[in-house]
Amino acid sequence: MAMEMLQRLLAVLDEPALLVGACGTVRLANAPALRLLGRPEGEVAGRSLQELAADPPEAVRTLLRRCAGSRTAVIGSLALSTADGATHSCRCRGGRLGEPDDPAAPLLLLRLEEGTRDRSQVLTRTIVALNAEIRRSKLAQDALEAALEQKGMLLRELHHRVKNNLQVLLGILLLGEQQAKAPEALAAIHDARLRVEAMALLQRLFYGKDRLERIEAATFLAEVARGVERAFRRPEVELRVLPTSATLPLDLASSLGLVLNELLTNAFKHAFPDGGTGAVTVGLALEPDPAGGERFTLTVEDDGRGTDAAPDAGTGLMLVRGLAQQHGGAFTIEAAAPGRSTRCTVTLRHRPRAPC
Amino acid sequence: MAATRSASGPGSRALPSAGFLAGLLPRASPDEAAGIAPAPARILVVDDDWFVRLQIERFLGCAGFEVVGIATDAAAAVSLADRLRPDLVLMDIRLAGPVDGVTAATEIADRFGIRCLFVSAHTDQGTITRTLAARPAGWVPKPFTEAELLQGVRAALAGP
Repeated sequence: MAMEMLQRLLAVLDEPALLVGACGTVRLANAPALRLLGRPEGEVAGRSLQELAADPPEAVRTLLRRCAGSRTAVIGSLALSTADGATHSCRCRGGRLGEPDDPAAPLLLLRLEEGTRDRSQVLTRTIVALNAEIRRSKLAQDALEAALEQKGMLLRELHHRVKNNLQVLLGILLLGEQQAKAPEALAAIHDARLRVEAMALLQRLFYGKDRLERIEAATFLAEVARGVERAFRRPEVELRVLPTSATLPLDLASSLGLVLNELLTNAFKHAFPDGGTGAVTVGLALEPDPAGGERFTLTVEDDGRGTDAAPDAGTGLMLVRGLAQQHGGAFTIEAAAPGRSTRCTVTLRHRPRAPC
Repeated sequence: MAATRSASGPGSRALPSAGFLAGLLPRASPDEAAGIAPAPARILVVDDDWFVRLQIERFLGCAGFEVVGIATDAAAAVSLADRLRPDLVLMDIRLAGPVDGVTAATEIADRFGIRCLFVSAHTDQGTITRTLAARPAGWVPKPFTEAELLQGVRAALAGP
Protein backbone atom coordinates (compact mmCIF):
# COMPACT_ATOMS: atom_id res chain seq x y z
CA MET A 1 0.00 0.00 0.00
CA ALA A 2 1.48 3.31 -1.02
CA MET A 3 2.58 5.59 1.83
CA GLU A 4 0.57 8.42 0.28
CA MET A 5 -2.56 6.32 0.45
CA LEU A 6 -1.84 5.50 4.07
CA GLN A 7 -1.32 9.16 4.84
CA ARG A 8 -4.74 9.94 3.37
CA LEU A 9 -6.23 7.09 5.35
CA LEU A 10 -4.84 8.45 8.62
CA ALA A 11 -6.05 11.95 7.71
CA VAL A 12 -9.69 10.83 7.61
CA LEU A 13 -9.53 9.32 11.12
CA ASP A 14 -10.92 11.55 13.87
CA GLU A 15 -8.97 9.89 16.63
CA PRO A 16 -5.20 10.04 17.10
CA ALA A 17 -3.55 7.37 14.94
CA LEU A 18 0.03 6.28 14.35
CA LEU A 19 1.58 4.18 11.64
CA VAL A 20 4.50 2.29 13.18
CA GLY A 21 7.07 0.04 11.62
CA ALA A 22 7.86 -3.42 12.88
CA CYS A 23 10.82 -2.22 14.90
CA GLY A 24 8.69 0.44 16.56
CA THR A 25 9.67 3.43 14.46
CA VAL A 26 6.85 5.89 13.91
CA ARG A 27 6.30 6.32 10.19
CA LEU A 28 3.25 8.56 10.14
CA ALA A 29 1.10 10.42 12.69
CA ASN A 30 -2.16 12.15 11.89
CA ALA A 31 -3.08 15.62 13.13
CA PRO A 32 -4.98 14.47 16.24
CA ALA A 33 -1.97 12.34 17.22
CA LEU A 34 0.38 15.29 16.82
CA ARG A 35 -1.94 17.44 18.93
CA LEU A 36 -2.03 14.74 21.58
CA LEU A 37 1.76 14.53 21.65
CA GLY A 38 2.13 18.31 21.50
CA ARG A 39 4.87 17.90 18.90
CA PRO A 40 5.32 18.84 15.22
CA GLU A 41 5.41 16.06 12.68
CA GLY A 42 9.17 16.38 12.42
CA GLU A 43 9.62 15.43 16.08
CA VAL A 44 7.45 12.37 15.73
CA ALA A 45 8.07 10.73 12.37
CA GLY A 46 11.17 8.60 12.42
CA ARG A 47 11.36 8.35 16.19
CA SER A 48 10.96 5.18 18.18
CA LEU A 49 7.60 4.73 19.81
CA GLN A 50 9.42 3.77 23.02
CA GLU A 51 10.87 7.28 23.11
CA LEU A 52 7.45 8.84 22.81
CA ALA A 53 5.81 6.50 25.29
CA ALA A 54 5.64 6.93 29.05
CA ASP A 55 5.19 3.20 29.45
CA PRO A 56 8.25 0.98 30.09
CA PRO A 57 9.96 -0.10 26.81
CA GLU A 58 9.10 -3.73 27.44
CA ALA A 59 5.39 -2.86 27.71
CA VAL A 60 5.59 -0.99 24.40
CA ARG A 61 7.37 -3.88 22.74
CA THR A 62 4.74 -6.30 24.01
CA LEU A 63 1.97 -4.12 22.61
CA LEU A 64 3.69 -3.92 19.23
CA ARG A 65 4.31 -7.65 19.18
CA ARG A 66 0.64 -8.32 19.87
CA CYS A 67 -0.48 -5.90 17.18
CA ALA A 68 1.96 -7.42 14.64
CA GLY A 69 0.41 -10.80 15.20
CA SER A 70 -3.10 -9.82 14.26
CA ARG A 71 -4.85 -8.28 11.29
CA THR A 72 -7.85 -7.53 13.45
CA ALA A 73 -7.77 -4.92 16.17
CA VAL A 74 -5.94 -5.90 19.34
CA ILE A 75 -6.94 -3.89 22.35
CA GLY A 76 -4.32 -2.60 24.76
CA SER A 77 -3.21 0.56 26.46
CA LEU A 78 -0.46 3.04 25.73
CA ALA A 79 0.71 6.07 27.72
CA LEU A 80 2.34 8.81 25.64
CA SER A 81 4.63 11.61 26.85
CA THR A 82 3.97 15.06 25.52
CA ALA A 83 6.54 17.70 24.76
CA ASP A 84 5.78 19.52 28.01
CA GLY A 85 6.31 16.35 30.05
CA ALA A 86 2.68 15.46 30.58
CA THR A 87 1.39 11.91 30.17
CA HIS A 88 -1.72 10.88 28.25
CA SER A 89 -3.12 7.47 28.95
CA CYS A 90 -4.80 6.01 25.88
CA ARG A 91 -6.74 2.96 24.93
CA CYS A 92 -5.04 1.48 21.90
CA ARG A 93 -6.60 -0.62 19.15
CA GLY A 94 -3.83 -1.83 16.88
CA GLY A 95 -3.30 -4.28 14.07
CA ARG A 96 -1.01 -5.25 11.23
CA LEU A 97 -1.47 -3.79 7.76
CA GLY A 98 -0.65 -6.11 4.86
CA GLU A 99 0.61 -9.69 4.84
CA PRO A 100 3.61 -10.83 6.86
CA ASP A 101 5.69 -11.34 3.68
CA ASP A 102 4.79 -7.91 2.32
CA PRO A 103 8.13 -6.06 1.70
CA ALA A 104 6.67 -2.99 3.31
CA ALA A 105 5.32 -5.00 6.17
CA PRO A 106 4.77 -5.23 8.84
CA LEU A 107 3.31 -1.80 9.26
CA LEU A 108 1.17 -1.40 12.35
CA LEU A 109 -1.79 0.95 12.64
CA LEU A 110 -2.39 2.16 16.19
CA ARG A 111 -5.64 3.99 16.82
CA LEU A 112 -5.67 5.76 20.17
CA GLU A 113 -8.52 6.82 22.41
CA GLU A 114 -7.39 9.30 24.95
CA GLY A 115 -8.17 9.05 28.61
CA THR A 116 -9.68 5.58 28.63
CA ARG A 117 -7.31 4.46 31.32
CA ASP A 118 -8.71 7.20 33.55
CA ARG A 119 -12.23 6.24 32.53
CA SER A 120 -11.39 2.63 33.19
CA GLN A 121 -10.17 3.58 36.63
CA VAL A 122 -13.36 5.54 37.23
CA LEU A 123 -15.36 2.56 36.00
CA THR A 124 -13.38 0.26 38.27
CA ARG A 125 -13.98 2.56 41.22
CA THR A 126 -17.68 2.67 40.36
CA ILE A 127 -17.87 -1.12 40.18
CA VAL A 128 -16.09 -1.39 43.52
CA ALA A 129 -18.51 1.12 45.03
CA LEU A 130 -21.46 -0.74 43.53
CA ASN A 131 -20.19 -4.03 44.92
CA ALA A 132 -19.85 -2.42 48.33
CA GLU A 133 -23.40 -1.07 48.01
CA ILE A 134 -24.68 -4.52 47.00
CA ARG A 135 -22.94 -6.02 50.05
CA ARG A 136 -24.50 -3.35 52.28
CA SER A 137 -27.91 -3.96 50.71
CA LYS A 138 -27.55 -7.69 51.21
CA LEU A 139 -26.64 -7.19 54.86
CA ALA A 140 -29.60 -4.85 55.28
CA GLN A 141 -31.88 -7.37 53.56
CA ASP A 142 -30.61 -10.16 55.80
CA ALA A 143 -31.25 -7.97 58.84
CA LEU A 144 -34.75 -7.14 57.58
CA GLU A 145 -35.55 -10.80 56.94
CA ALA A 146 -34.33 -11.71 60.40
CA ALA A 147 -36.43 -8.91 61.91
CA LEU A 148 -39.45 -10.07 59.91
CA GLU A 149 -38.99 -13.63 61.10
CA GLN A 150 -38.65 -12.36 64.66
CA LYS A 151 -41.79 -10.26 64.24
CA GLY A 152 -43.68 -13.26 62.85
CA MET A 153 -42.57 -15.36 65.80
CA LEU A 154 -43.64 -12.69 68.27
CA LEU A 155 -46.97 -12.31 66.50
CA ARG A 156 -47.60 -16.06 66.65
CA GLU A 157 -46.68 -16.04 70.33
CA LEU A 158 -49.00 -13.10 70.92
CA HIS A 159 -51.89 -14.86 69.16
CA HIS A 160 -51.16 -17.99 71.14
CA ARG A 161 -51.29 -16.05 74.40
CA VAL A 162 -54.49 -14.25 73.43
CA LYS A 163 -56.15 -17.57 72.58
CA ASN A 164 -54.94 -19.13 75.84
CA ASN A 165 -56.10 -16.11 77.81
CA LEU A 166 -59.53 -16.32 76.22
CA GLN A 167 -59.68 -19.98 77.22
CA VAL A 168 -58.75 -19.01 80.79
CA LEU A 169 -61.41 -16.31 80.75
CA LEU A 170 -63.98 -18.90 79.67
CA GLY A 171 -62.81 -21.05 82.59
CA ILE A 172 -63.27 -18.17 85.01
CA LEU A 173 -66.81 -17.59 83.76
CA LEU A 174 -67.55 -21.31 83.96
CA LEU A 175 -66.38 -21.28 87.57
CA GLY A 176 -68.67 -18.32 88.20
CA GLU A 177 -71.57 -20.23 86.70
CA GLN A 178 -70.87 -23.20 88.92
CA GLN A 179 -70.91 -21.00 92.01
CA ALA A 180 -73.84 -18.76 91.12
CA LYS A 181 -76.83 -19.30 93.34
CA ALA A 182 -79.41 -16.87 91.96
CA PRO A 183 -80.93 -17.83 88.58
CA GLU A 184 -80.48 -14.26 87.33
CA ALA A 185 -76.79 -14.33 88.17
CA LEU A 186 -76.38 -17.72 86.56
CA ALA A 187 -78.12 -16.51 83.38
CA ALA A 188 -76.03 -13.34 83.25
CA ILE A 189 -72.75 -15.22 83.64
CA HIS A 190 -73.85 -17.83 81.11
CA ASP A 191 -74.67 -15.11 78.57
CA ALA A 192 -71.34 -13.48 79.23
CA ARG A 193 -69.63 -16.81 78.59
CA LEU A 194 -71.44 -17.17 75.27
CA ARG A 195 -70.25 -13.70 74.28
CA VAL A 196 -66.68 -14.53 75.15
CA GLU A 197 -67.05 -17.76 73.17
CA ALA A 198 -68.11 -15.65 70.18
CA MET A 199 -65.03 -13.47 70.64
CA ALA A 200 -62.89 -16.59 70.93
CA LEU A 201 -64.29 -17.82 67.64
CA LEU A 202 -63.37 -14.51 66.01
CA GLN A 203 -59.85 -14.82 67.37
CA ARG A 204 -59.48 -18.29 65.91
CA LEU A 205 -60.90 -17.29 62.54
CA PHE A 206 -58.91 -14.10 62.16
CA TYR A 207 -55.55 -15.16 63.38
CA GLY A 208 -55.40 -18.46 61.60
CA LYS A 209 -54.83 -16.49 58.42
CA ASP A 210 -51.75 -14.98 56.87
CA ARG A 211 -53.55 -11.83 55.78
CA LEU A 212 -55.50 -9.99 58.40
CA GLU A 213 -57.12 -7.14 56.47
CA ARG A 214 -60.38 -8.81 55.47
CA ILE A 215 -62.23 -12.07 55.98
CA GLU A 216 -64.82 -13.86 53.83
CA ALA A 217 -68.23 -12.99 55.24
CA ALA A 218 -69.90 -16.27 54.23
CA THR A 219 -67.43 -18.41 56.20
CA PHE A 220 -67.46 -16.03 59.11
CA LEU A 221 -71.27 -15.83 59.44
CA ALA A 222 -71.58 -19.60 59.12
CA GLU A 223 -69.02 -20.17 61.90
CA VAL A 224 -70.71 -17.72 64.26
CA ALA A 225 -74.09 -19.29 63.50
CA ARG A 226 -72.73 -22.78 64.07
CA GLY A 227 -71.34 -21.70 67.44
CA VAL A 228 -74.75 -20.48 68.61
CA GLU A 229 -76.46 -23.54 67.16
CA ARG A 230 -74.15 -25.83 69.10
CA ALA A 231 -74.67 -23.87 72.30
CA PHE A 232 -78.47 -24.15 72.17
CA ARG A 233 -78.79 -27.66 70.75
CA ARG A 234 -82.13 -27.03 69.08
CA PRO A 235 -82.19 -29.33 66.03
CA GLU A 236 -85.86 -28.53 65.48
CA VAL A 237 -84.90 -24.95 64.68
CA GLU A 238 -83.34 -24.61 61.24
CA LEU A 239 -80.61 -22.02 60.93
CA ARG A 240 -79.95 -20.71 57.42
CA VAL A 241 -77.16 -18.39 56.34
CA LEU A 242 -77.87 -16.88 52.92
CA PRO A 243 -74.96 -16.82 50.45
CA THR A 244 -72.92 -13.66 50.22
CA SER A 245 -69.75 -12.78 48.34
CA ALA A 246 -68.91 -9.89 50.66
CA THR A 247 -65.66 -9.67 52.58
CA LEU A 248 -65.44 -8.03 55.99
CA PRO A 249 -62.76 -5.65 57.21
CA LEU A 250 -61.18 -6.90 60.41
CA ASP A 251 -62.28 -4.14 62.77
CA LEU A 252 -65.87 -4.35 61.61
CA ALA A 253 -65.98 -8.15 61.58
CA SER A 254 -65.49 -8.46 65.33
CA SER A 255 -68.43 -6.14 65.98
CA LEU A 256 -70.56 -7.86 63.36
CA GLY A 257 -69.77 -11.23 64.94
CA LEU A 258 -70.86 -10.07 68.36
CA VAL A 259 -74.02 -8.52 66.92
CA LEU A 260 -74.92 -11.72 65.07
CA ASN A 261 -74.20 -13.76 68.19
CA GLU A 262 -76.61 -11.61 70.19
CA LEU A 263 -79.39 -11.64 67.61
CA LEU A 264 -79.18 -15.40 67.12
CA THR A 265 -79.02 -15.99 70.87
CA ASN A 266 -82.09 -13.80 71.22
CA ALA A 267 -83.95 -15.74 68.53
CA PHE A 268 -83.05 -19.15 69.96
CA LYS A 269 -84.02 -18.04 73.47
CA HIS A 270 -87.31 -16.33 72.76
CA ALA A 271 -88.70 -17.10 69.31
CA PHE A 272 -89.40 -20.78 69.77
CA PRO A 273 -90.57 -21.47 73.32
CA ASP A 274 -91.60 -24.90 74.53
CA GLY A 275 -89.63 -26.79 71.89
CA GLY A 276 -91.39 -25.15 68.96
CA THR A 277 -90.07 -25.64 65.45
CA GLY A 278 -89.12 -22.96 62.98
CA ALA A 279 -86.30 -21.31 61.08
CA VAL A 280 -83.89 -18.47 61.57
CA THR A 281 -82.43 -16.82 58.47
CA VAL A 282 -79.28 -14.71 58.40
CA GLY A 283 -78.43 -12.42 55.49
CA LEU A 284 -75.74 -9.86 54.80
CA ALA A 285 -75.78 -7.20 52.09
CA LEU A 286 -72.90 -4.93 51.15
CA GLU A 287 -73.31 -1.71 49.24
CA PRO A 288 -71.28 1.45 48.74
CA ASP A 289 -71.97 4.03 51.40
CA PRO A 290 -73.11 7.32 49.84
CA ALA A 291 -71.08 9.05 52.55
CA GLY A 292 -67.97 7.10 51.49
CA GLY A 293 -66.73 3.61 52.29
CA GLU A 294 -69.00 0.60 52.65
CA ARG A 295 -72.31 -0.10 54.31
CA PHE A 296 -73.11 -3.59 55.61
CA THR A 297 -76.69 -4.57 56.38
CA LEU A 298 -77.16 -7.65 58.54
CA THR A 299 -80.62 -9.18 58.85
CA VAL A 300 -81.71 -11.91 61.23
CA GLU A 301 -85.25 -13.06 60.70
CA ASP A 302 -87.16 -15.80 62.49
CA ASP A 303 -90.62 -17.24 61.96
CA GLY A 304 -91.19 -17.75 65.65
CA ARG A 305 -93.77 -16.29 67.97
CA GLY A 306 -92.90 -12.66 67.32
CA THR A 307 -91.67 -10.15 69.81
CA ASP A 308 -93.42 -8.07 72.36
CA ALA A 309 -90.18 -6.70 73.74
CA ALA A 310 -89.29 -3.09 73.32
CA PRO A 311 -86.19 -2.68 71.14
CA ASP A 312 -84.23 -1.34 74.07
CA ALA A 313 -84.95 -4.30 76.33
CA GLY A 314 -82.19 -6.60 77.53
CA THR A 315 -78.43 -6.44 77.74
CA GLY A 316 -78.04 -8.24 74.42
CA LEU A 317 -80.04 -5.75 72.40
CA MET A 318 -78.36 -2.89 74.23
CA LEU A 319 -75.05 -4.34 73.07
CA VAL A 320 -76.35 -4.58 69.49
CA ARG A 321 -77.53 -0.98 69.54
CA GLY A 322 -74.25 0.21 71.01
CA LEU A 323 -72.12 -1.58 68.42
CA ALA A 324 -74.33 -0.27 65.59
CA GLN A 325 -73.87 3.26 66.87
CA GLN A 326 -70.13 2.70 67.21
CA HIS A 327 -69.99 1.95 63.48
CA GLY A 328 -72.26 4.83 62.44
CA GLY A 329 -75.19 2.54 61.79
CA ALA A 330 -78.56 1.70 63.25
CA PHE A 331 -80.56 -1.17 64.69
CA THR A 332 -84.23 -1.85 64.05
CA ILE A 333 -86.44 -4.69 65.24
CA GLU A 334 -89.82 -5.26 63.65
CA ALA A 335 -92.51 -7.87 63.23
CA ALA A 336 -92.26 -9.03 59.62
CA ALA A 337 -95.64 -10.73 59.99
CA PRO A 338 -97.63 -9.49 62.95
CA GLY A 339 -97.58 -11.94 65.81
CA ARG A 340 -95.63 -14.50 63.83
CA SER A 341 -92.07 -13.47 63.15
CA THR A 342 -89.36 -11.00 63.97
CA ARG A 343 -86.92 -9.26 61.69
CA CYS A 344 -83.83 -7.53 63.09
CA THR A 345 -81.81 -5.24 60.85
CA VAL A 346 -78.43 -3.81 61.74
CA THR A 347 -76.45 -1.47 59.52
CA LEU A 348 -72.74 -0.95 60.09
CA ARG A 349 -70.61 1.52 58.17
CA HIS A 350 -66.95 1.12 57.38
CA ARG A 351 -64.57 3.77 56.17
CA PRO A 352 -60.93 2.84 55.69
CA ARG A 353 -58.76 4.38 58.36
CA ALA A 354 -55.78 6.52 57.59
CA PRO A 355 -52.54 4.61 58.08
CA CYS A 356 -50.85 5.24 61.44
CA MET B 1 -47.47 -33.13 89.16
CA ALA B 2 -49.96 -35.92 88.65
CA ALA B 3 -53.24 -36.84 90.23
CA THR B 4 -55.87 -39.47 89.70
CA ARG B 5 -59.50 -38.72 90.15
CA SER B 6 -62.98 -39.39 88.94
CA ALA B 7 -64.69 -36.80 86.81
CA SER B 8 -67.88 -37.01 88.76
CA GLY B 9 -68.65 -33.71 90.32
CA PRO B 10 -71.33 -31.17 91.01
CA GLY B 11 -72.01 -30.55 87.33
CA SER B 12 -72.12 -34.19 86.29
CA ARG B 13 -75.27 -35.68 84.88
CA ALA B 14 -76.44 -39.18 84.08
CA LEU B 15 -74.46 -41.12 81.52
CA PRO B 16 -75.77 -40.96 77.99
CA SER B 17 -77.64 -43.97 76.77
CA ALA B 18 -75.91 -46.78 74.94
CA GLY B 19 -77.61 -45.68 71.75
CA PHE B 20 -76.21 -42.20 72.03
CA LEU B 21 -72.68 -43.51 72.32
CA ALA B 22 -73.07 -46.36 69.86
CA GLY B 23 -69.96 -46.58 67.77
CA LEU B 24 -68.18 -43.88 69.73
CA LEU B 25 -66.80 -45.83 72.64
CA PRO B 26 -63.92 -48.06 71.69
CA ARG B 27 -64.28 -50.76 74.28
CA ALA B 28 -67.14 -53.19 73.88
CA SER B 29 -68.38 -54.67 77.12
CA PRO B 30 -70.20 -57.92 77.83
CA ASP B 31 -72.58 -55.78 79.83
CA GLU B 32 -73.85 -54.30 76.60
CA ALA B 33 -75.37 -57.62 75.61
CA ALA B 34 -77.15 -57.63 78.93
CA GLY B 35 -78.58 -54.17 78.27
CA ILE B 36 -76.29 -52.43 80.70
CA ALA B 37 -74.78 -49.12 79.66
CA PRO B 38 -71.13 -49.49 78.58
CA ALA B 39 -68.38 -48.16 80.76
CA PRO B 40 -67.61 -44.54 79.96
CA ALA B 41 -64.53 -43.83 77.92
CA ARG B 42 -61.56 -43.22 80.23
CA ILE B 43 -59.62 -40.08 79.47
CA LEU B 44 -56.31 -38.68 80.70
CA VAL B 45 -56.05 -34.88 80.62
CA VAL B 46 -52.64 -33.22 80.21
CA ASP B 47 -52.65 -29.44 80.56
CA ASP B 48 -50.72 -27.12 82.84
CA ASP B 49 -53.49 -24.52 83.19
CA TRP B 50 -55.93 -24.94 86.04
CA PHE B 51 -58.77 -23.06 84.36
CA VAL B 52 -58.43 -25.08 81.19
CA ARG B 53 -58.43 -28.32 83.15
CA LEU B 54 -61.52 -27.12 85.00
CA GLN B 55 -63.38 -26.70 81.72
CA ILE B 56 -62.21 -29.97 80.25
CA GLU B 57 -63.15 -31.93 83.36
CA ARG B 58 -66.53 -30.25 83.55
CA PHE B 59 -67.39 -30.73 79.89
CA LEU B 60 -66.21 -34.34 79.78
CA GLY B 61 -67.90 -35.18 83.06
CA CYS B 62 -71.20 -33.70 81.97
CA ALA B 63 -71.03 -35.68 78.73
CA GLY B 64 -70.47 -38.95 80.57
CA PHE B 65 -66.77 -39.46 80.04
CA GLU B 66 -64.49 -40.42 82.90
CA VAL B 67 -61.42 -38.29 83.55
CA VAL B 68 -59.10 -40.88 85.07
CA GLY B 69 -56.08 -38.67 85.57
CA ILE B 70 -54.60 -35.21 85.32
CA ALA B 71 -51.02 -34.34 84.42
CA THR B 72 -49.33 -31.00 84.02
CA ASP B 73 -45.99 -32.11 82.57
CA ALA B 74 -44.72 -34.65 80.08
CA ALA B 75 -43.11 -37.04 82.56
CA ALA B 76 -46.28 -37.31 84.61
CA ALA B 77 -48.33 -37.76 81.44
CA VAL B 78 -46.24 -40.71 80.29
CA SER B 79 -46.23 -42.21 83.78
CA LEU B 80 -50.02 -41.94 84.15
CA ALA B 81 -50.63 -43.26 80.66
CA ASP B 82 -48.54 -46.28 81.56
CA ARG B 83 -50.33 -46.87 84.83
CA LEU B 84 -53.92 -46.00 83.90
CA ARG B 85 -54.01 -47.08 80.23
CA PRO B 86 -56.73 -44.58 79.28
CA ASP B 87 -58.74 -44.83 76.07
CA LEU B 88 -57.64 -41.36 75.02
CA VAL B 89 -55.26 -38.63 76.14
CA LEU B 90 -56.15 -34.95 75.78
CA MET B 91 -52.77 -33.28 75.31
CA ASP B 92 -51.74 -29.65 75.36
CA ILE B 93 -48.56 -28.73 73.47
CA ARG B 94 -46.93 -26.36 75.92
CA LEU B 95 -46.64 -28.02 79.29
CA ALA B 96 -44.96 -27.34 82.59
CA GLY B 97 -41.33 -28.45 82.45
CA PRO B 98 -38.85 -28.71 79.62
CA VAL B 99 -40.56 -31.41 77.52
CA ASP B 100 -43.53 -30.49 75.37
CA GLY B 101 -46.75 -32.31 74.63
CA VAL B 102 -45.66 -33.51 71.18
CA THR B 103 -42.76 -35.44 72.69
CA ALA B 104 -44.98 -36.87 75.42
CA ALA B 105 -47.68 -37.85 72.92
CA THR B 106 -45.15 -39.55 70.66
CA GLU B 107 -43.76 -41.58 73.56
CA ILE B 108 -47.25 -42.54 74.74
CA ALA B 109 -48.22 -43.64 71.23
CA ASP B 110 -44.99 -45.57 70.67
CA ARG B 111 -44.82 -47.29 74.05
CA PHE B 112 -48.47 -47.91 74.90
CA GLY B 113 -50.33 -47.55 71.60
CA ILE B 114 -52.54 -44.85 73.12
CA ARG B 115 -53.33 -41.92 70.87
CA CYS B 116 -53.61 -38.30 71.86
CA LEU B 117 -56.12 -35.64 70.94
CA PHE B 118 -54.20 -32.40 70.87
CA VAL B 119 -55.97 -29.49 72.59
CA SER B 120 -53.84 -26.45 72.00
CA ALA B 121 -53.67 -22.86 70.84
CA HIS B 122 -50.67 -23.80 68.68
CA THR B 123 -52.44 -24.29 65.38
CA ASP B 124 -49.76 -23.20 62.92
CA GLN B 125 -48.85 -25.58 60.13
CA GLY B 126 -45.36 -26.17 61.48
CA THR B 127 -46.64 -27.42 64.83
CA ILE B 128 -49.33 -29.57 63.25
CA THR B 129 -46.74 -31.17 61.00
CA ARG B 130 -44.54 -31.85 64.01
CA THR B 131 -47.37 -33.64 65.81
CA LEU B 132 -47.79 -36.16 63.01
CA ALA B 133 -45.01 -38.23 64.59
CA ALA B 134 -47.42 -38.92 67.45
CA ARG B 135 -50.12 -40.24 65.08
CA PRO B 136 -52.63 -37.84 66.69
CA ALA B 137 -56.27 -38.79 67.11
CA GLY B 138 -57.27 -35.24 66.24
CA TRP B 139 -57.02 -31.59 67.03
CA VAL B 140 -59.17 -29.23 69.08
CA PRO B 141 -57.93 -25.65 68.77
CA LYS B 142 -58.06 -23.33 71.77
CA PRO B 143 -60.09 -21.42 72.68
CA PHE B 144 -62.69 -24.17 72.46
CA THR B 145 -66.34 -24.34 73.41
CA GLU B 146 -68.01 -27.27 75.14
CA ALA B 147 -69.54 -28.46 71.87
CA GLU B 148 -66.24 -28.26 70.00
CA LEU B 149 -64.36 -30.20 72.67
CA LEU B 150 -66.96 -32.94 72.85
CA GLN B 151 -67.17 -33.20 69.08
CA GLY B 152 -63.39 -33.62 68.95
CA VAL B 153 -63.36 -36.23 71.72
CA ARG B 154 -66.17 -38.27 70.16
CA ALA B 155 -64.54 -38.19 66.76
CA ALA B 156 -61.21 -39.25 68.28
CA LEU B 157 -62.79 -42.17 70.14
CA ALA B 158 -64.69 -43.26 67.05
CA GLY B 159 -61.63 -43.01 64.84
CA PRO B 160 -59.47 -45.89 63.60
